[in-house]
Amino acid sequence: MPDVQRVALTCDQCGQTDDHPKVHIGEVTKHHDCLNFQEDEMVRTSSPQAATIIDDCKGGLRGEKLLARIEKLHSSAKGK
Amino acid sequence: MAKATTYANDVLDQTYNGAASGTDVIGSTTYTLPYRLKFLSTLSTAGSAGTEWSTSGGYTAGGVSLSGAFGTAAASASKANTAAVSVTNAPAGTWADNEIHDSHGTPKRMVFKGTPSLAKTINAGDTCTIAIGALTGTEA
Repeated sequence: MPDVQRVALTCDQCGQTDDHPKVHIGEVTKHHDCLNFQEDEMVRTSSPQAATIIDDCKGGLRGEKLLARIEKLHSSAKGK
Repeated sequence: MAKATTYANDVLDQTYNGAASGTDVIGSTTYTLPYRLKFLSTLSTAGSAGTEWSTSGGYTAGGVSLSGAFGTAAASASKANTAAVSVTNAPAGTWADNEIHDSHGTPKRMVFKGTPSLAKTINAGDTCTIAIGALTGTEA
């Protein structure tokens, strides 16, 4: 995969600007652990991978560690 | 002439069809289910499709299946998705537009959001979700 520079984006919930993995729900952008209850339920039920990512983020994974987890999650899914 | 509401609902149920398989015939054209939702980095127009995200990370060219996404029949000449549609581990780039097409080997274009561009910057690894009720079609 080419080395693409990450862009700092602002979370619409907590207001923090960083390049951590985020959720985009249309125009709204939030960290995976900043989703409100309805958003959390909607995103996690839309994809099993999304549910795992939300749980991992709520469990404390952030930034590079969360990104590595997301990439690993998808590479293992492709291997099945 | 205007469409009767019952006819408009039938058109929407054909276009926003969440079936997992089968075909729909619209006019003389056969459309193959499941319908799929492409994520685009440029806007579609009536005459030409926008640029689809490349196959990378969690996105596969051809888009996301809409099987099961429309659980309720059209009513009052309107229909919307009843399940969210997500891409996890999205590739880096721009999320500008979305377009529905059929799943034939040579996909047939159906509907698209179009202007204004969503113009969202996406980092690799992000999750891109279309909320319940956000994928809406209406017939006048």
